[in-house]
Amino acid sequence: MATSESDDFESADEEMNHDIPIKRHTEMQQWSSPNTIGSESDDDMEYVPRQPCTNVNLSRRKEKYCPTADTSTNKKRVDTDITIKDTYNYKKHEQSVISVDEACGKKDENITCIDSRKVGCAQANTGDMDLKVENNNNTTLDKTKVEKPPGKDINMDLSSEATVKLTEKEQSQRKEKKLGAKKLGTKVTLNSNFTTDIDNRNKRDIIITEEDVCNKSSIKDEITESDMPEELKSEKTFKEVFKPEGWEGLGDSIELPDELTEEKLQPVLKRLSLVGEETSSSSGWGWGNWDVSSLINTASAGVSTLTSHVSQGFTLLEESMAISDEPKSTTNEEEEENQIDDNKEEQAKEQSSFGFGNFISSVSSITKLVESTGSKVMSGGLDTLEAIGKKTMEVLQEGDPGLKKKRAFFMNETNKPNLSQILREAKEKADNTEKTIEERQKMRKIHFESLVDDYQGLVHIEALEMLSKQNNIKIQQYLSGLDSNELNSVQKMLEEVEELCELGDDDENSDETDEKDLKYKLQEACSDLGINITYEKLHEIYLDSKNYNTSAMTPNDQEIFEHAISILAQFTAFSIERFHKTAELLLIKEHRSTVNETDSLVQLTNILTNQIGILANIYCSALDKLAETSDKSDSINANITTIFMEASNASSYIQDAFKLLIPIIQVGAI
Amino acid sequence: MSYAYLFKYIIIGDTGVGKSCLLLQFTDKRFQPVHDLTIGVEFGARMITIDGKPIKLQIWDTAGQEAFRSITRSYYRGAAGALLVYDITRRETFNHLTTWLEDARQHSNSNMVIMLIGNKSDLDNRREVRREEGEAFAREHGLVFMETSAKTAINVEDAFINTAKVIYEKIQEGVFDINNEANGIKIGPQHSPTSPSGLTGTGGQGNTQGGGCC
Repeated sequence: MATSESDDFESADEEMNHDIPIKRHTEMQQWSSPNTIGSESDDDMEYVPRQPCTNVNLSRRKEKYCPTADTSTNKKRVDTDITIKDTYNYKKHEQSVISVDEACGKKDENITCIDSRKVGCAQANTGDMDLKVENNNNTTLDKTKVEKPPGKDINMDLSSEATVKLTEKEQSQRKEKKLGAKKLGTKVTLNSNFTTDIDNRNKRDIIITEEDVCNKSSIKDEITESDMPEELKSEKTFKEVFKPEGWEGLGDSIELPDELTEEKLQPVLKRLSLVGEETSSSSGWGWGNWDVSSLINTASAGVSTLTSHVSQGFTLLEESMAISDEPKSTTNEEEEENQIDDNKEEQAKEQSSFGFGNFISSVSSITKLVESTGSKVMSGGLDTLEAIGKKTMEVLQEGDPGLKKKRAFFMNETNKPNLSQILREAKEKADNTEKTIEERQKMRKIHFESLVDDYQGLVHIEALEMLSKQNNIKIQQYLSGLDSNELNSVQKMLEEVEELCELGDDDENSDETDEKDLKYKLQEACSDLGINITYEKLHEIYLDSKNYNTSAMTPNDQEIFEHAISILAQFTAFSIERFHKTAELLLIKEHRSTVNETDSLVQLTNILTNQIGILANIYCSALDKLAETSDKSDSINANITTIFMEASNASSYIQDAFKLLIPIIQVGAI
Repeated sequence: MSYAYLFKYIIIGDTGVGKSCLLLQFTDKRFQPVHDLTIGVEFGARMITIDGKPIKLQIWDTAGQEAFRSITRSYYRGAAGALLVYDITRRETFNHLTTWLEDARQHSNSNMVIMLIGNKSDLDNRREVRREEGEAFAREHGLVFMETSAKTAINVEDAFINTAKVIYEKIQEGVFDINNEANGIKIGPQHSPTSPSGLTGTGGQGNTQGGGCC
């Protein structure tokens, strides 16, 4: 699992590199996400990779892009135009965005039960637009100060900051109309700012990471610190990215007195300035400053150590995504902050000229410096990380929503050759090597697998295999009909059953077991099965062998050897037959009790394999005695070796037969 | 002991129609008036000779009880022949034939040869299903039909051997892909020109083994 995951990351890594040159393209995708926010939030749970953008957006973009194409040397210009266009677009779709947002919030509640306040906010927004920003700011600030579960903070902060910053930006857009100033990249930057801020505060208020090393270590911190369910976390991260843009649409028509807004903004600004101070030394954040590949390596390394779930891998990636944005965002914030004050006064004038409706704003304007550094770095970084995430999701979920198949697949990797086939082949091999009929008949007498077949051990194991396979299919079918939560718990349960079925190597006291013990032990082990079955026949076989060996007249060594092989084969065949019957009876039993069944069957298997050893010992000690006095001790010793070898074969056949029972036990547990 | 082919048979039909008795009669040539209920599936095997070739019939005798139905279904796969048995003294066992037939066709390969058997023909005085009805049903569904008596052994041997003959013909015609074990046919380990002809007994009286274990 770990390997395959890291493979995915590698491919994502490659993908990332491809994406860098065509950065602008991915930028557009990022920007267009608000239009698809509805589907996004619906898919949140499943992490389905999102569609790049809607048709509406595409056409708009083209429209806008073509006329400015000749200025392609100045990419920013083009982007700016597009941004403005898109903002109009949102305005038109405002209503739908809101409702989606609300739905999103509600869904969140259902899934995570974390964020009731957020839902409240979302609803308040739809109902009472004027109060929106206020609410959000208040809640955000309160929350940031008070220590709260990270989940809550994230969402609250996000909302508020989104609103505030977007407001700032809208204003600056208006302002720089002449220049066609506003740029897509900047918006993206804002998004990442949110994420970064959130992460910062969540993770013990670490706001600054000036160097790559710091970045990496903080990733690790996050990994270990993540004390809430992974799926939950990752889900939120996605939402964070999309949320702000949804809010932006709302912001368009909101009217707030300037002073009020400023007041609210103040704490945010403080925070921003704090960030700015700490990162002041590093003014230019280029690609080199944050080593993408090393980040990803760290992430994937972390993933492979976290073996269990694919979803965990996603969380990690997403977390690392948030972290890696940190350095850039701080820079950006710093610069942004510097300009905020300068531009405050100008805002009022600009508002009317745009016809944008009235905007909450006290801050605005971002300089070209911001554009050139911040946007490039930010959008590029986000794009890269998003590409990684997307690609990983795509690869993992290709034709496999919810990763159900993949989970099932990892569980079901026991494609070994059939036991019956092995037995049959061994038998046939022996058959084919003999030459004359007499010789063959004679050899057959001492050929273990052929004898097992004669006692119908082979066909029983074949039938048991069919049952086992069919029930395995049943289990897989059942699993494929479950949602991911149920799937997890059921799979855990199935794994537990499998663990219970591990056969220990406990040979303790096996040598002291006498026949009475065997009978008693078999009965006792059977009693917990809850079915009417007896393993007494195996005891009878054991008695046969004992009688044979204690009879006064001892036959020659070859006869003892043949008898030994025959008894072993018989014992094995009936053990298998009993297991097969047990399986059939368990399957028609009405009330299954997994623990008892497992316990009984493990006991039985251990008893039977031990008994095989006892049988072998009986014959071998008899042969040993003969060997001491006989002149052909060499051949006797060879036979002794053969008996021990076949005994170990017999034990492994019994154990393999037992393994075929596991799906039958598991089916009962479902 | 060595065989040219191994055919897998299944015996299906309502509980109490005499499936296990038919098997016991065929493999052990004896009749047991009181038989334990079969659990899941039991096995029998016998060598027969067709066209001078030793053929091993491996017979899966399934439980007729409704409770085992889902289990026995999983054994249908890979059977070359099936004996579908009803009791001529119990009309309902005849009425259930359609269900059994659907089940068999659904869970086995399409080439499987199915023999319809009206058992307990010795109890003619208690007959509820006329012979003609059985014949009609067999004709309608493309089955081979026979009335047998496990008690008196009438037609028992023929039922098994005729089925084997049909399968053997299908092999000769190339209908069965003998290399595909899903068809219920395995080639014997010793199936070669040097295979000794005297190995098996005469006229299907070869080696008998298994059966009668419950």
